Amino acid sequence: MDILSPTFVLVTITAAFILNFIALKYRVLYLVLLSSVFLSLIDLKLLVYVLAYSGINFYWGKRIAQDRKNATFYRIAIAFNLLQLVLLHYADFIIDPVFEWFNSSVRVSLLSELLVPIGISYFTLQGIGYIINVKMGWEKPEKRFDHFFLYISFFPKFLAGPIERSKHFLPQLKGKMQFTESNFINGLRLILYGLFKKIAIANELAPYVMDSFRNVEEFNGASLLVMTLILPLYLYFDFSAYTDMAIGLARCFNIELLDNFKRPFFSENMTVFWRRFHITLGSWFNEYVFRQFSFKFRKWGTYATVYGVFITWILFGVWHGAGWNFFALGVLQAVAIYYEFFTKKWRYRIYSHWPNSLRIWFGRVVTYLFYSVSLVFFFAPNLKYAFDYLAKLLSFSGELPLDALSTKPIFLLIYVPVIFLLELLENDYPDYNAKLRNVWYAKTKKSRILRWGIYSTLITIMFIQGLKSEQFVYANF
Amino acid sequence: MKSLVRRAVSFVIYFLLFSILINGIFLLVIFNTDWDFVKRIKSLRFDQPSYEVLVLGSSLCEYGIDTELMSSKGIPSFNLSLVGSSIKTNYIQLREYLHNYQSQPKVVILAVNAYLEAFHQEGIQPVVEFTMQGHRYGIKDVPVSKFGWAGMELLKKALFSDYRKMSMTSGHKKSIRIEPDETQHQALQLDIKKYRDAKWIQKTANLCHDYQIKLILIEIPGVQNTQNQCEVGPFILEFENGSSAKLYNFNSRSFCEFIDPDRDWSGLSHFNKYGAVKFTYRLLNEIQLRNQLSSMD
Repeated sequence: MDILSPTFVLVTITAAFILNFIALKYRVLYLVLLSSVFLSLIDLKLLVYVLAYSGINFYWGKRIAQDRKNATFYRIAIAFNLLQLVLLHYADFIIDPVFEWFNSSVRVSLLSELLVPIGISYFTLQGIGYIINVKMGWEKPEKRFDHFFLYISFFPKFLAGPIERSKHFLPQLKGKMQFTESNFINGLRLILYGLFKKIAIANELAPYVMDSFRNVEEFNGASLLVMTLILPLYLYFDFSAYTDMAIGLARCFNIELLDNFKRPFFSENMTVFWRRFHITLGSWFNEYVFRQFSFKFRKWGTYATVYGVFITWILFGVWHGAGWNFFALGVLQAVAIYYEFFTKKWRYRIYSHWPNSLRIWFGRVVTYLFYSVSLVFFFAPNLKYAFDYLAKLLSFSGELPLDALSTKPIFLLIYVPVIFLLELLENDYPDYNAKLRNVWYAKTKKSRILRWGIYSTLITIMFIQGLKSEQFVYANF
Repeated sequence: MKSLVRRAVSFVIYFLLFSILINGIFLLVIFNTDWDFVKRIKSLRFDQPSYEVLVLGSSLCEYGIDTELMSSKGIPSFNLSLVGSSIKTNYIQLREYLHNYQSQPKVVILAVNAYLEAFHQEGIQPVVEFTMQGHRYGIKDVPVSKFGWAGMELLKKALFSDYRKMSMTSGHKKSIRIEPDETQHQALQLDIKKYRDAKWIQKTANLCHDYQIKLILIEIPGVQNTQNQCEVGPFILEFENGSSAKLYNFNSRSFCEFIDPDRDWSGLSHFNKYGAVKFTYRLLNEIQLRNQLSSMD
């Protein structure tokens, strides 16, 4: 399923347009049908699996609500969710090595080849979130299966999020899902931005990133330094592109999805960074792991927080994939959060003498650099590769590959600064940003010509770059 | 809903007008400034050409064979090579030339590099494809997309003086840019079978045979890691229909000793104008082109 193809985008927009001619009571059914077609086009078995998964969680939700004090059903439901995730996503990391240790030829990971568990990391978190909400009484169990199935399988968010919350998504289905022209146009605008970010920026950066994680021996330290600085840009433009498209498509269907990014590279520390990058994942772990843990062990005092942070970030890292490199990714984030937590007063004493803007930008640069280095563990195929990469990077050997970088992706030197300039305005200069928005969205002929001119330019650039199909990084989980 | 449809239709019309305007301006600019476009248009509008030698090939040949020098040595010649040309493109160009003009060349030099180029490519060089007779225009011919590289060349011209100072005479592109060859020799052999089996070389040989034109194939020099250990030749290649061609292996390591790796390249196995002059002198000397032309009179 190539969601970057013009055919997919046009068919989906047409389907969204048709939604508004369908009677209100059939709209959810229509979306269920579309999502089912989407899943079956990936693999029919996937559709069957997601149906079964939704059915089981739908049932557990009802049973848990019947007797909230009895934790048995709740534990079974959580165990079921985790077990299916481990069997289908982590078997080659957790289960197969155990069988190998006992010289057994059993390979549980073959299950994942049979069932193609695309999107499993996303829909499992949504399923667990729903179960916890019901158990805690934060939400009533869903009465209609079609609504619950749509919550799990809604196709714009199925492959790579945003990770929805049932209490945010499901109530929308009870409403009128009323068509508004501005909503539809906003949706189209987001789809266009998303496509542009993916095709004109992320796809152009991809070869550099992929090459450096294919064979580290081919690169000198200086080249790896440049590649490492590119990693956050690549991941951001790739993933936020998908999110923009998902939110835009959903908006065309009159459904609001949660935001996933909020100008992350303007964060002054890692704590803030994770509130702005992959927001729905960070907030999920915060809500359902960290807070639950800290609350349950609150009598431990500060230790509850310390252990809670560690467990949360380890799970956060391992959520990205089965491997020690992802474990290390989580540990690194935990260390950063500890550092920021325990040195807060000390840092305040030092930095309070600095000019405000210098302190802010110093924090932003350090945050970016830290994230760049930690992404080596994200992109590396294994832990050994990541350490080889870092060892070579730290040798600082060879010359900077500025020649190649200045001529090949030359247009990126325009697109990326323009996008960051707009984000800077939004983040640091809200007054100027408001003025710009007023000009941009003014209902005058001039503004419309300006807007349409920019949209036409973006479409033309995408046409020139070619609507090449490159997989989204976060669609791997 | 009606308002949305109206806005959508208005945007589509706006976008179409925008595209026509942008593509029109882009085409007009590259039509008049891009070396390959200028050369291609010139080659389609020759006024009774009297070239005895036509040179065909890709950009290696476009930069590498100084046809102005050849003309000054009494061998009227023109370099038809274009950036990114396949051998199929060269064949089409030659067929067009022979069809359009009464005056026929006596010799065709086809300069390729078996190590760097694929001989079986069926694609046609975009400038040639866009301007050739019988081409059916479609969505792939939208200029900003089809000639995107020409836009990049334009940008390079605007940004770098080396590109601005480039010139073209008799179809030979003269670059003053110097980029040292830092590659190392490898133990390569010339793949003569690749020449024998190349469909479009065979077709070119047959075409030359039909018009009684002598076809000379040249393995054009590349940087050190592309050079081979074989002798210069010539090797005689026999094709179907009784056609044949002589192949000179000028990418032989022994032949390439004249090349100064620090001065003669402009990058990626392309000669600069200094390297091209040296190579063309040696080519003329090795082939004895003047004598060959005289013997054909």
